[in-house]
Amino acid sequence: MKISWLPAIAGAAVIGTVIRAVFFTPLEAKQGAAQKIFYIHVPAAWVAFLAFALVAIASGVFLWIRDQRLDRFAESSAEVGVVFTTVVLITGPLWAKPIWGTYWAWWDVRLVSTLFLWFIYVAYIVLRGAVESPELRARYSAVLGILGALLIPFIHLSVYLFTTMHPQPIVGKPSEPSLPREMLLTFLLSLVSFTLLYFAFVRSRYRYAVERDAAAATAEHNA
Amino acid sequence: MLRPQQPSTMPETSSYYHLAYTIALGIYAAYALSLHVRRKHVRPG
Repeated sequence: MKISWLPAIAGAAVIGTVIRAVFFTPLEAKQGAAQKIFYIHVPAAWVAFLAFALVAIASGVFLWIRDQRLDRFAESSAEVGVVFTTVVLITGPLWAKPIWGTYWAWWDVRLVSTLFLWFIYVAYIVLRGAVESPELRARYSAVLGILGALLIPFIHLSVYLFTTMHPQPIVGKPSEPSLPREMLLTFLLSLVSFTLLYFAFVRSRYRYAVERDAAAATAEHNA
Repeated sequence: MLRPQQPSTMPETSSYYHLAYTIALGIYAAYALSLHVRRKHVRPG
C-alpha cells in the first residue's frame, strides 16, 4: 500500500498538537479551559487568510498567463479556505459565549466581516458550479477570487479601526508576544500543523480536480 | 481543608472547549473523507 507522506505527517502533527494543547498546556488563569480554543481558532483563521491570499495570487497570475493549473489550484485553495473559515466561525462563538456572555454580536466588524469573507468564497464555489464553459468559469471565478481577498487586510485591521469585542492580536504584533512560553510553543506548533494540513488538503483537492477534468475529457471523447 | 485545584475566579468553561475541539476536528475529518470519496468516484476503473 502506497503511503502519502504529506497527509500522514499533517495528520500526525495535528493529533500531536491537540494532545499537547489538551493535556500538556496550562490553563489560563482568567478564562479557564475556554482559552484553549485559541489553539484551534487562531490557526484556522491564519490558514483561511493564507488560502484566500493564495487564491488571489493564483487567480491574478491565471488572468495573465491563462494556465489551467493555476485555476485548479485557486479552486482547490478556495474550497479548503472555506472549510477553515467554517471552523473559525464555529469555534469563535463557542469561545465568545463563556468569555463575552454572547455567541455573536452583529455590530462587531471583525465578526461580521469574517462572515462576509465566508459568503464570498461560498459564492465563488457556487459560481464555479453554475458556469458551464471552462474558460468563462475560470475567468469569472478568478475575478471573484481576487476581489474576495481584498477583505483580508480589512478584517485584520478591523480590531484597530473599530470598537470591537474581539481582542487585538497577542502574537502577530510589532511588540513581544503576550503569552507565556509554554502557551506560545503550543500556539506555534498549532500554526505549523494546521498549515501542513492546509497543504495536504489542497494537494488532495488539486489531484481530484485533475482526475475529474481527465474523466470529463475522456467522457467527451467517447461521446 | 481541601481546596479546589483551580482558582475560584476561573469560570467552568470546559464544555465549550470540548465542543469546539470536537466540532473542529470533526469538520477536518469529514472534509478529508469527502476528498477521499470524491477522488475514488472520478478515478478510472
